[in-house]
Amino acid sequence: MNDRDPIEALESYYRELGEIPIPTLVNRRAIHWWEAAGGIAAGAAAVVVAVSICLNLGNSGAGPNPGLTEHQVRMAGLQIDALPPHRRTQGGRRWLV
Amino acid sequence: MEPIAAPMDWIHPRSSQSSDDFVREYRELVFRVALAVTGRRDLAEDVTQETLLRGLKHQRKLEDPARWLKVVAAKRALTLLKQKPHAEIAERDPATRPEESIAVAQTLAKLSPEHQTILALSISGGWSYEEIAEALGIPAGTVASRLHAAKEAFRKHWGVER
Repeated sequence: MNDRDPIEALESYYRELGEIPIPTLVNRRAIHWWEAAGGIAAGAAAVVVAVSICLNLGNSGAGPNPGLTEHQVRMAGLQIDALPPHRRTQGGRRWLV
Repeated sequence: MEPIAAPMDWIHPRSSQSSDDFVREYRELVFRVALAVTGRRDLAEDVTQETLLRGLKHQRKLEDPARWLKVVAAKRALTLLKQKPHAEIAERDPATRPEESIAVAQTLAKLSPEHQTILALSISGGWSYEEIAEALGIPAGTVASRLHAAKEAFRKHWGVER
């Protein structure tokens, strides 16, 4: 083996690597990771919005305090129209608080 | 029959290929590139996953997905090589490694990441010079000289290693 041509040894090495079977989990891992990432992002957004809503609603005496946009509220699955009008509009945008 | 999930189809309604089909079609191609460059199955799996996820994001915009994925995988694998210490890279996949392959892996680890990558792409994958140039971010006209230099470096270190 000492007389082996180095480039031949290199080619043999890459051939051997090419025979390693591909992991069957790659497909599912990729898909599941993607799905999980989407789910985690949506879940995290919902939690943040829900916590913010709780904090803001509990802080109603603190005066004007731009909080959540209508879009964020709708993303959290809440009904913005259920809120009193003075809590819906401020400075041309809709705010909760 | 196994149900085929298509979680990305609602994001890319114009794509003609479901995400499952996309992954199934290209995962071996991407994995082989990543494995050739890194020499390690665990790193290759990471590169494969990252590359396919990026591919899924851009799926509908890709004119030549295979080429795009190959280049992205090679670039990501090269980045990993640059980040890893040589000793760690020298521990290439030990699963079926005879003595000579260990020597090859140890010799490769002494080369620069760029030389390791150009050897992997040119010898293992049958890449064109244009594809190699794109993956390495170098002019196509310099690929031949870089490849020659990489082979010379390998020969030099192989002699020391033996």
